[in-house]
Amino acid sequence: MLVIAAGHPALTGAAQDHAAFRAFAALREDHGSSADFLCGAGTLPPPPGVRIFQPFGPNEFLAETPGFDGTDFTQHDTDLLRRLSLLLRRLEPEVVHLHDLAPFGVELIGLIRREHPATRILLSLGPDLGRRAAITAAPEDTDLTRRFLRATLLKRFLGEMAAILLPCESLRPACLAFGLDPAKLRTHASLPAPTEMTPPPPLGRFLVVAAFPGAVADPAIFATAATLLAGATLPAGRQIRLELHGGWEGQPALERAAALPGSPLALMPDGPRGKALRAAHLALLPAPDGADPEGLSWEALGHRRPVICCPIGSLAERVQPGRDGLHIPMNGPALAELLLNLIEAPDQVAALQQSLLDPPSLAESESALLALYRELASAPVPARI
Amino acid sequence: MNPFLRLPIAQQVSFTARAVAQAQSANYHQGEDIRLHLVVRGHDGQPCLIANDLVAGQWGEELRLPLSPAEALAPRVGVAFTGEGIFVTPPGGEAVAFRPDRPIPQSLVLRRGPDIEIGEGEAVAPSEAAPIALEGDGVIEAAGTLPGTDRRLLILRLADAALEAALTAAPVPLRLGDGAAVPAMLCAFDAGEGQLGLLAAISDSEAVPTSAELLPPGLPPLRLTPPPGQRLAPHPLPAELLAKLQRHLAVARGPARADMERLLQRAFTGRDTLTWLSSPVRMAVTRLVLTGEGVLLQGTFSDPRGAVTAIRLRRGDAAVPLAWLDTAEAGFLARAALNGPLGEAWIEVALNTGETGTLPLPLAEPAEIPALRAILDGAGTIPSAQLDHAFDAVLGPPLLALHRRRLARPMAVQAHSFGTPPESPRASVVIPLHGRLDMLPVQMALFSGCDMAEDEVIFVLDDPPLRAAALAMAKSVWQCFGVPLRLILPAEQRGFGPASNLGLQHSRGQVVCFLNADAFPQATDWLTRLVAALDDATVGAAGARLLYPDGSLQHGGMTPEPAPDRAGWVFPEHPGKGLRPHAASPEPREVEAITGACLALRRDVAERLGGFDPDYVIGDFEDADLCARLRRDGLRCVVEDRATLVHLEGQFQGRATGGPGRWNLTLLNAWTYNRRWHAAA
Repeated sequence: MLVIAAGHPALTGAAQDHAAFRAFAALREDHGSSADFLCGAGTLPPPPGVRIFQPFGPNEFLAETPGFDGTDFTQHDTDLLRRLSLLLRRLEPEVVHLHDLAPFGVELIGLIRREHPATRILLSLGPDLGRRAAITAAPEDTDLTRRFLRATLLKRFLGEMAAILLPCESLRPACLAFGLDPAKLRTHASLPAPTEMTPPPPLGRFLVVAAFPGAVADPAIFATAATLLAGATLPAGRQIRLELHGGWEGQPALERAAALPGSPLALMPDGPRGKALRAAHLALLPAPDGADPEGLSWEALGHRRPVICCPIGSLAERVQPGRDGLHIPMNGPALAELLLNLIEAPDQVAALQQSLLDPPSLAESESALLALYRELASAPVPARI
Repeated sequence: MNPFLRLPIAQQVSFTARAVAQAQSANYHQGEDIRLHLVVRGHDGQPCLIANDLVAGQWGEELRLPLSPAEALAPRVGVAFTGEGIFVTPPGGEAVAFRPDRPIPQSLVLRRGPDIEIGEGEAVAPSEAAPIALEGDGVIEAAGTLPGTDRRLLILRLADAALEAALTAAPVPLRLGDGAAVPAMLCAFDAGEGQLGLLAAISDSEAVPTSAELLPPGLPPLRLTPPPGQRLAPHPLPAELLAKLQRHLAVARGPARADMERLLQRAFTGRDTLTWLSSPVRMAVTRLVLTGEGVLLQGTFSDPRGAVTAIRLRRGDAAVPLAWLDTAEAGFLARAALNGPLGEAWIEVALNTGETGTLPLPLAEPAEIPALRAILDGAGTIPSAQLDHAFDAVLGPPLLALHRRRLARPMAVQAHSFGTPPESPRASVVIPLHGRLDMLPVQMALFSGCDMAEDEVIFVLDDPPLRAAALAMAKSVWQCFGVPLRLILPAEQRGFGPASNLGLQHSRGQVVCFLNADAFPQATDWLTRLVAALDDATVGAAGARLLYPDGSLQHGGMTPEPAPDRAGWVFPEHPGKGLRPHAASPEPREVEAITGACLALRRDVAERLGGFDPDYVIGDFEDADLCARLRRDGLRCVVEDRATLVHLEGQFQGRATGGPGRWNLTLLNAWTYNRRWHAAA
């Protein structure tokens, strides 16, 4: 078994990298599986003259990947591809699980197929990768020929997949519209982070909302909401605190809104999510196609913090309104109105904290993933293109 | 109104009451001189129209034409500059000659007061040529310089007709005014009333024609004077002088007549003498290309008075007429059926007055593709009604000859291999590259997933500047995708057909599939199906179904159809293009022709035909031509619908985006195709 990720969890905070590493750890724990982990080295330099190295463990390979082109998911470094080819010959994986197409590019899929024609390859296609690859979101490039070439290349190599794992059903229509084989699309969430349930802060005087805007949420949502809430007359002794964890850097509008007298907006560094959730009553996930919405939602629900999200997309599918959280149109006035209502009705927040469903446990998820690997390993090699 | 006036002119000068009150004037300038100054002013209590001139800083004697008080309020004055002089016509009066003994200029500038209007006037009818009373030996009837010839021409009239033989047998010394005697070439004509007319040509000089003296050897000198009452010999405009000379020369006698005729056809001196013509003809030749099927000229031309009767390409004594095509913005393209080294050659323009002007030619441009493209671009939009003439007479044969000469040159070719192709390939896929290389990796990535292990892939770079990039990319895609390929690098760009043929020469497969670089297979078995279609010995060529990226049909076979809006020329059309494709046929289906974007042939057939006919320039129609040759040989063309590719079409040689030049290139190829296969159309 070979699990491939964009980066190593020791070096990045990306949820997909952590999920990939959890899959690798689960395989390693599973007696009867030999597992390896391959990822990009990011900014960690290899020893001189070395391209692939193992700074963290015997089955964990990091590769220097400067030749990656993120616009079309290609890897132009033929020396790296040659070294990867040698590594694949040595590892001889029966199943390869890609958690991203970065930073090895679609060429790695071709390499795997050439070196090991019977190897089953699967890809976790989350909202973030779907957006970057212009599968689940409209492409940003206006040049139709370039769009066609990029899509053709992706289709060519996604055609090599034995399965494409979607975290939720709502991504399926976009994948079908892109031209992916419906028989290969499976709904299967990435492994969640282990959570330890902690009691929420007391309700009454304060309402703390931990927001994870990521890189794709519209900053105007928070700036507008903060402005409206700063000017609102709140019941005596009650206060809203809207904490933005990351995603606000380089946004002057947000910095101005946070500096307003009485502003509820607090700009927090993008630190550990568990710590942020433990200090909050609610989690706010404004972007359904952010970096890791499903992982975030699992983590929030694992901490028994209701989730506020928009009524469309993968999150809406997971977060049942009135049970696990609340759906609102994701704009500033709607958010401000909701928070004003919630601070005046703390019982509603408490009820949600009680009613939300527990997410599946890590053990259950691991078991399901291992079963999937075994199933794919015994399935016929898929047809190409 | 254009202030520059070219003679002869006739104008109507209207003074308003304000202009009269403010003593505004109308002035016709020749350089610093005012050749005619008109003003309405009182003189001795009588309103007058006053004409005067200012020559060399000196005002001349006023010509006063009395006006009635009513006429003086807003007079309209006729002004005419003719070969016979300047005429001023006051209101209600007759034309009056102004300074009849002074030569008039060829061009003027008009300056006038703000309340003086200028309209078109009536030309003054030349006075009937009254018999000139001879005094003494004879008169100088007219004298003038012929621009561009360095010659002074005279029309003389002698009282004694018996002198003809003595004066015309050989050049006779002639003295003009106070100048030295110079040899004069003379020919004679009947002047009527027993008089002898003579046409004389002498070398030009500063001598003023106040008199002339003929000095025939062995005879007394003959003294000639201007007509009675005139100090100088009449000095008509060049056009009028030429007209008179031509008229007399037509009936002239004597050995000098031929020389005189040559003289009137101005000799080429390397200068542009069109500006010396009596009509404002403008012409510039901006491009000259020697093609082997004539000389192609491109430039601009204007002849607002319609005075030009012929334009010829001259090389020494040879005068070759031009096949002419007017193009946009006063442009032209012309072809002269003249081959071989051009040497000293020029353009000769003839007017209906008998004058000729010359125009030097630019250096010949290299007979290469840039010149071909520039000429086709300069042709602009050619109307349907002119298509046959444009290509039959002007553009077609020379451009085709230019193209053939390029292709006939030896050319260095390099071949590079990446990976090891099969020993005996089932098929060779030949892909010309031009302009962009970014599709190559995608195409090879798709091939890496197709049933092509027994096939070879050959790219032909028809774009030498991209050589280094193509080599690097070929190496990279080989290492990335593991599909062996060969890259053929010709030293010149020669177009789709020749590049494909070069690939054919380097191929070894039993089947050769010509493929565009922007065609992308949609199933792994596309080539297998094309190869299978060629198992039928009656099939000469097999093509794939080509789709646009949106799934609509781009090509499912071609049908040659006449285009009424293109002179009825036959163009290969793609039935159903742009529409959703019909259900795929379970078997290859016969069509009239197949696009060269994906066209497979058995090797023996491809070699027998020599691939695509290279006569088609850059790329167009060679596929229809190939299919026509197959059908002529009794072989069928089929489309295999189950072999489907997405074809971006036009990414490399698109006709839609290249402007009129690109379309005219298509028309050139259409002309070649039609003249070869649809001559009756």
